[in-house]
Amino acid sequence: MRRFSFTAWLQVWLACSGWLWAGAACAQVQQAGAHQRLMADAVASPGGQVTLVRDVFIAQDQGTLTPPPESAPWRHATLPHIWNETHPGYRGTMWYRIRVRMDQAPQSPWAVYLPRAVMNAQVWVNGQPMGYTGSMSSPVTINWYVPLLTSVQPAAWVKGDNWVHIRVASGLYSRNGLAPVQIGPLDQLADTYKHRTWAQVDGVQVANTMLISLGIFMLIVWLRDREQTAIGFLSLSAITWALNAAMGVMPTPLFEAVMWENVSYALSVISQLLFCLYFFRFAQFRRLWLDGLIYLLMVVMPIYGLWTPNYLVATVLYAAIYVLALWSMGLAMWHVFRERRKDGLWLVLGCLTLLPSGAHDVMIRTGSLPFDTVYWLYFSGPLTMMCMAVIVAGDHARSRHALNDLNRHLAERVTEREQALRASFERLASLERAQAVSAERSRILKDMHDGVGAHLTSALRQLQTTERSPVDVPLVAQTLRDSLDHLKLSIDALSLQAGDVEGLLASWRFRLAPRLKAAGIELVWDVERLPPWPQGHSPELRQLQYILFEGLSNVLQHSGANRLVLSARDLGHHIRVSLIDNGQGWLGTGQYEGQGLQTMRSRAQAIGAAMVFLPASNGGLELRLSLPLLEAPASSDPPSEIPSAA
Amino acid sequence: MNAVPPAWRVVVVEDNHQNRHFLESCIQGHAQLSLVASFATLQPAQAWFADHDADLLMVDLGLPDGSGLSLMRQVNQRWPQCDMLVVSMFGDEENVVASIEAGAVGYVHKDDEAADIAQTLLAVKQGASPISPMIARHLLRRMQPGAAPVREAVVVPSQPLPHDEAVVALTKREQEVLEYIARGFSYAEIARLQGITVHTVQTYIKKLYGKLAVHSRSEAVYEANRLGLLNTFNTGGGTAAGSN
Repeated sequence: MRRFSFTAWLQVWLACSGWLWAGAACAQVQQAGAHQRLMADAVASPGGQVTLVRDVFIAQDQGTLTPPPESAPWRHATLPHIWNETHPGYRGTMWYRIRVRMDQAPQSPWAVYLPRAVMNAQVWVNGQPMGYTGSMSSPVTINWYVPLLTSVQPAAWVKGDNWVHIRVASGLYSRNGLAPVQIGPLDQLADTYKHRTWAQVDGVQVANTMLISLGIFMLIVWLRDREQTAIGFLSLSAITWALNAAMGVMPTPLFEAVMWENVSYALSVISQLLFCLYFFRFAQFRRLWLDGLIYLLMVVMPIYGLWTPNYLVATVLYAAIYVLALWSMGLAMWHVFRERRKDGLWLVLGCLTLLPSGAHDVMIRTGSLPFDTVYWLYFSGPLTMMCMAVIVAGDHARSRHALNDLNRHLAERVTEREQALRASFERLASLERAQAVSAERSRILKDMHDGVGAHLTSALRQLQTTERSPVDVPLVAQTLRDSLDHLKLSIDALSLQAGDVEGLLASWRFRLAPRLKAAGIELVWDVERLPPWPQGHSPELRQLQYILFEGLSNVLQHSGANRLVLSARDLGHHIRVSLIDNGQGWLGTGQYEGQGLQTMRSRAQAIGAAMVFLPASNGGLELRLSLPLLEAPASSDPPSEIPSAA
Repeated sequence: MNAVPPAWRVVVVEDNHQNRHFLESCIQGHAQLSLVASFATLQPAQAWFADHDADLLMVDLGLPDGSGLSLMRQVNQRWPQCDMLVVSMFGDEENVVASIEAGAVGYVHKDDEAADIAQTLLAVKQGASPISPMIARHLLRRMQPGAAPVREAVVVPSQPLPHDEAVVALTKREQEVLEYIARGFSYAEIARLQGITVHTVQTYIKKLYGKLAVHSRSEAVYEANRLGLLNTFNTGGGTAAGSN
């Protein structure tokens, strides 16, 4: 709501007022300079004021290149003189005659000032041609909107009657005619001429240059973002507008005059229709039929202009475009108010600048305004385009700001998510640590239960004697020693790296060698370099320790062997660990068939190892363990297990 | 307690009186060993060693008034010819390695047989140094290039190590011996495989212990490791067989 506050409306009003005042100023240009109105045979004072000539005599061209003689069919006319009003359909050359009576010849240069002569004009004074103003024959120099100031040296004037002839050559489609002429001292007319030249030529070129630059810039913007069709229409409209204006005020056509005029007219039509399309797009009003109609007009109107060059029809068509423009602008302004569109005020300002200007210029064309009235659209058009460009720039700036905001918010969100993720990871890591501690605690408890705890309990039971069963001290000592050995093996297992079977076997030997030595059993160490056992994590290694410990206990207690071989081989698919004694073989193991063997089997199964008992070649028994290295089960060396051990 | 030459003069420091008596009996039961002092705490032992020499010291690490490591460092500095053994319950690598770095040349288990303990003491004086596979593996792991320095919790550096001091350098043979031990081979098996005597094998271990004692702090070991002077025991291979 702030954008449409009272202050804003005041600014709009002031802008429009400024535009009106500017228009009024332009209109005043034609009235510049204090002057007196004279009849065709007026008397002018050499040192006096500028004389505004409205009453003239006119004569059609007689085929001569010099002013028609006195005897020619001169007739009276009033300036501005529109040919169609006195000579409908006439094209060619028209002579205007003005008699200037002087009491004495001027001492300083005088000038004949033609605010507007369509298409071109040349001044003769007392039968002598003055300055060259361009071609007077086809192709006639396009000076239809160029004010002409012809300087006349004092010597050209005489005391008494002076005859000023103005030769006007017609154009193709223009409204041929002559605006009121001013005659007077050059220094007085120079300022008037300068102002009008700025308003009709120089200023228009400046505005065109600016407009075409703006159009090209917006075209580039659109080419980089084709979805912005409104900007595309606006840019093309600006470019065609500027080209049309440039062609209109360019004195010399670059190609054949007829085509030049048609191209200029086509550009004018296309430009205005593109502008309408921009307004429709801005208002988000899109109808296929409407687009089709506008595209059709873009094609039909220039063709019609080429086919039947009729000024009136062209003007009517131009008015039709004006109506279309009114509709589109109305929709656009309504969109601004309805949607509270950002920068919408600029569109309103542009429309309020353009609409009256268009009406003004149509009125010139239809003769409702003086013939030499300055066209406003040459300035109001670029001004409107600038207003639209401000909207485009505003949209672009807002997009950038929004993008920056989005990026900033995204960065903040990413940071927040990172922090949340980090916190989550920390929680997860903490949880994992807690789980690891818990798992390790469970493992140690199981160790203590299966190892030290079991042995200490056994020792306690062994010490609980009765009269019939006295304490077996060696047995208790052995049980306690087993307990200590288990404890040492547990401690060693804590230091083993995952998969380190080699280290496990070395520890087993070191811890249990005293026991073998005490039993008088020779140990043969046949362990080669072993690869890491993939499944051999801490619990699995501990289970393997138990199996080997139990295996050794069996040998010590039941085998009667005096030689034990520990063999370990890397067989590719698995690691084979064998405990081979030279004892009594399976026959001697009957006593530990039972709980001990079942426990060993359960442990082997738990760690995915194959455990079998095989008859040794020397008559003893081989405990063979196969630790898988690959997923596929080892197929080589199929053992023939002793049936009773199954 | 007077020393009786030519028997080796032994000092025992152990807070558990049963264990201490057991150790004392081990020494007293062998003619070549002589118990010259026995302590239950650290302070009197330190005071005693301020003025007295000994050939062997058996010390427990967990004493009521301090760590046995500080006593070993003191004795190693004051009486370098005194061979020190740590009395360990489990012979676990953490405590044993810390002891070696403090100057110990080995360890005995508290549950060892008396004869074995006496035998170990005599072997030490003849140049041997007890070592377990787990300790050997631990040492080799620490000496792998790029291994981070392991600061043992019980190791307290006594003084800064000069930056220009020579780092530990193992000979190829010392390295090989250490690797065999880590794989479970006995001294006799290593001697046969290497074509050397058992005594030579024992000498290597004692030299290694000596080097570790000189560079008793983990930073020094790490530095040797960082310089790539040592190989890992994982390199090399081959099947070795021996008999005990």
